[in-house]
Amino acid sequence: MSSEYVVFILSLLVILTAIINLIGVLGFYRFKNFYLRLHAASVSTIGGAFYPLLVLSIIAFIEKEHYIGVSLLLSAFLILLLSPTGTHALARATYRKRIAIPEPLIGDKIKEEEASS
Amino acid sequence: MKLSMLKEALTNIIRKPITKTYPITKRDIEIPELHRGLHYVDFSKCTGCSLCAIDCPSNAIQMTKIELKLGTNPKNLYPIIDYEKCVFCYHCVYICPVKAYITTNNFELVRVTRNNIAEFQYEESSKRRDKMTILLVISLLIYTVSVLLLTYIVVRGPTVSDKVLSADVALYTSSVILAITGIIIGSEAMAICTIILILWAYIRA
Repeated sequence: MSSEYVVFILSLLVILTAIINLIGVLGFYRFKNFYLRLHAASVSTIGGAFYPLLVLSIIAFIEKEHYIGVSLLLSAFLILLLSPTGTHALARATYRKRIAIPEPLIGDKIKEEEASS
Repeated sequence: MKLSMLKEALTNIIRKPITKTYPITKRDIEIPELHRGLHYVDFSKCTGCSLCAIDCPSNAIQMTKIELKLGTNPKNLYPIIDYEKCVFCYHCVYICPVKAYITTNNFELVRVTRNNIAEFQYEESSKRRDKMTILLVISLLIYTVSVLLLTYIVVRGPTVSDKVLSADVALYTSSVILAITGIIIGSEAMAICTIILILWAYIRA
């Protein structure tokens, strides 16, 4: 009977991560700058895709479906590797090509470093 | 005389029926907690040793083969209780070595349809999963809403890099949707699809 309560709490956690994902997606609409939207994207990938996959894999192990558990763990690990590299590459490319203009600009560290060296 | 009869008839049309349709509307009866009511087997604990079927004094328990693949039961033999034979002595509950029997104080043997009452056991053991599936379906709905919002940005975002970014996030969230549906249905193919989807996102990047 105790495993029943554990699964119940874990599935509540999945709902929480879904809400985090929704908040991250709303950030896409609300933030005015591309580089701020990057932050929203990383929130909704790590909080909304990495954590639920971990939780779901634990649920699968409790329910004795080991194949599903292992594959979900693998996919969670892949997301942990891929999403930061992807967002970094995107940010770098947009900065170099100057596609997105950072509108409320406080300071540009990269430009200062390039000017000094 | 006749008019008063008519009045009686008219009031009886409006009045609620005194009798109750029993299995649908239930009476309020206080049942003591130790009342030996319907008992059923937690299929995830049962090892299929069939001790309960041997010990049963009225031969009410039959070991039947059900392909559930829960892992604990190598022969896939599960006890099904025939409640019409059962005398509710609870010998099976006390003899079970893994304590798989769950006891209730539910005494209602009545069903609306004429199906076998053994279906009660299937219903009860499937209720354990129901709570989880309801919560997971709610989270599925929230995820689908967020994916729809993301696809709107993919179609008409302000810049190209925005479109690429939102497409990435949409892929990851849809992989989570696949995973949740895979757990609800219990199929391994869905879980493998999540890995393929994430690898596709990697190749795209």
